[in-house]
Amino acid sequence: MRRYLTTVSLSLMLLTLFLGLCVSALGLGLSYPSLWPREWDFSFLSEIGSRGQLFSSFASSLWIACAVAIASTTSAFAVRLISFYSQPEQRLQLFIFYLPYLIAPVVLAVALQILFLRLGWAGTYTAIIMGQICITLPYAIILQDGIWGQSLRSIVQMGLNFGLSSFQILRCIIWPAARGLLILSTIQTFLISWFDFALVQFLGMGRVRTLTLSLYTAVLESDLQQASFAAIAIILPGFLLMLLFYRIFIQKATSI
Amino acid sequence: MKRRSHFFLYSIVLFPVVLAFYFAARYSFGFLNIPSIQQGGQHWKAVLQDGSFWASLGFSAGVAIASVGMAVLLGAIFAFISYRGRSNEKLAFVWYSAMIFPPVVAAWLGFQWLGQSGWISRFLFQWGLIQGPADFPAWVLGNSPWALILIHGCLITPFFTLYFFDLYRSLQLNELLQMSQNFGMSVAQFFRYGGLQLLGRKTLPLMGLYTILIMGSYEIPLIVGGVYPKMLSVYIVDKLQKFDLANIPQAYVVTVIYFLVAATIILIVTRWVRQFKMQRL
Amino acid sequence: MNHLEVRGVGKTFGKEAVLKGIHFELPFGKSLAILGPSGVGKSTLLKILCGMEEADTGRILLNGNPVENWPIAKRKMIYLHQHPVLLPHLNVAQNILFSLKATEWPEAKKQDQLHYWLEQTGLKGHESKLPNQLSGGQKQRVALARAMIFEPEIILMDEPFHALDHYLKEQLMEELKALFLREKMSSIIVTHDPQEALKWADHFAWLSEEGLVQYKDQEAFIADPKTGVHRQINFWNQYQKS
Repeated sequence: MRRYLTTVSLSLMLLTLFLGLCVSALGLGLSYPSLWPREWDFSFLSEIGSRGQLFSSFASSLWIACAVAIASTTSAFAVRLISFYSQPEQRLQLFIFYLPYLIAPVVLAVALQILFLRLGWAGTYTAIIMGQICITLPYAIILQDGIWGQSLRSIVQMGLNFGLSSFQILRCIIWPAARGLLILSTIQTFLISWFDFALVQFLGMGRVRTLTLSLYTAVLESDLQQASFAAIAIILPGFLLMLLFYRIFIQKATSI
Repeated sequence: MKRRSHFFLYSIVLFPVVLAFYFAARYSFGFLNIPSIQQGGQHWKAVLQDGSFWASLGFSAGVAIASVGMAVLLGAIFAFISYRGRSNEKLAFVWYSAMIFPPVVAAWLGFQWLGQSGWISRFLFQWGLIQGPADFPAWVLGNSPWALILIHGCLITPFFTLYFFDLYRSLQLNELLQMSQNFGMSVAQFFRYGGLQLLGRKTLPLMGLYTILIMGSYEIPLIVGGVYPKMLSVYIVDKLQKFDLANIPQAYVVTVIYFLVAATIILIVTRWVRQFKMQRL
Repeated sequence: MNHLEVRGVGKTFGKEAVLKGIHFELPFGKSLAILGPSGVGKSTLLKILCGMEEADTGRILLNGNPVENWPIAKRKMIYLHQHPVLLPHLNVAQNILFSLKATEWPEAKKQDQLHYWLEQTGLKGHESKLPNQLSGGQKQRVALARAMIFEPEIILMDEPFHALDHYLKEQLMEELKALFLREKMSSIIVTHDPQEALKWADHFAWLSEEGLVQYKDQEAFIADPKTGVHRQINFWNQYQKS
């Protein structure tokens, strides 16, 4: 009963927040103290490409997030594969992998901005992607840590014992064991990039516009509709990804 | 081979951070190739003697500690209420869904709900509890930390809830509670005499890491924060984007200080993690 | 009067009747072994006795008093989990004293009892060790010392030796049996192993889906083919001949 009530209450709360966004995105005449719009305005949906450049922002966000997700996940996998048989000192490793992930994005962005200005990358997609990878790569390495345990080591040794080649070991042993976490790593790094604001703002230098920047611009311009639309566009893909890869997410939380 | 692969692994991760830190440190001493900016330690002196920097540092730390405290308390309680030692996929999915709100959207939602003309103010007006928006507290864009604490706290509560579910399972909390009840203890007594200490040791490293995360938060204080005091990230950006060029090295001084504070906390946290792992806690 | 009498206890989970019409008796200072196939409700029965689960029907009489409506703490029947449930951040001494947190004993008495039970359970010298530094057998001893220091009425043990190797099991069983005899402690042990039951217990019962059968003596227990004792005896006899 308690679990049922918790599930229902939490779902209602999230739904209310989402409905609030929808009402402000599609409603007109929401001046204080109205709780309900005077009328509904669906014209925004057709103007979505031109007004506030939401469509192009969506495309930019998507392209950057895909690039970052694929690059970080594959790099993290490659890096860990190379060092699979070494066992670095645990505390030092932990410290090093946590460091970039935990230093505030805006602090990192401010510091990287100088570097990218010197390299001539500032204001380009390259700068944003490279900047985001600084955060997502160590995150992906930490996340994929669950692949490289003692049990995998034992199975690989067994494979070597039976004369399997490196490629066969990768294809038949490592890949099946790693697949689930690699998908999760791709999704998580995609979402970190998708949700990023500070790095895009500083490294993009106003020339690259993503959904998060569109939302911020709309807030500054007091454009409730655009801000709410941008917010919906930001959270919907994350929710859809969760639905699509429900099993993988739930496997991580089966203790609930 | 081992040493080379360690070096390769670490350099991949550390290189951009070290390079960024190097430039930030250089710029904090004024080595910016801008003639009007003096080089030397005076920028550090200016920051360390500036009351607004310390206010910003203290404010950021206070908001971070309060937010993490709120999230840990709520997460532990929510997880405990629903914990049964068996899995529930629907509940897990709902909590995961609550984590798809990024800081910038959370800030906007905070703005919409907690503002003086926000949804909560409108409901209160409709119920006759306030006479107008001015009667609602100025949490958003005001100088109080409450909106910041509430939004940050709500943002990370789902994570801590899921964390505590996992922790209760791995600690076999059901069995520990049954054992203590068998000896005449109430649930409150169990937590008082041993449970809280056990949970605290497990959770402390994570709390340290999330405190750093929130101290460095940018989007939320940018959208709903007040003019003074500002949180650190907004303070840094403000210094960078002002017309007075002399402020630019000061922004990098604060950046370097923040790097050092975060690195110190991470060092302490990794020491705890190692210590507790040795005790198999 | 028996120390414990169980009359007509039944328990249903949803539509499934896990226990039906359970009757048995346990005299003072004696031990009862309950055997049976997996999933018939042996652990559930122990949990009902100590109060962790509620019976749907039946009576539980402790020293002649009906206790089925008593709270867990009042019954003083201590349940020992299959895997010892120790607090990982407390050392041996602290884990043992943990059971006394809700009592009003003076500190001097607690310390006296602690030293006594450390001695009795062979844990002297291990007081300051943490659970992760103990072997499986030592963890069981800590759980037992924690139970004994509480001065329980009855100790309920749910397969306490199953995770231990043969030699450790033999050693621990001997020591604990001697301890229980010295302290005149009544106990109920749930086990799959008829050998364990024969070495430990004075009385025997078989729990199945049809209900619980308490044997009048050891011979009746051995003679019943369900228990598997005869099969084991025949096996070793055949093995010896060959």
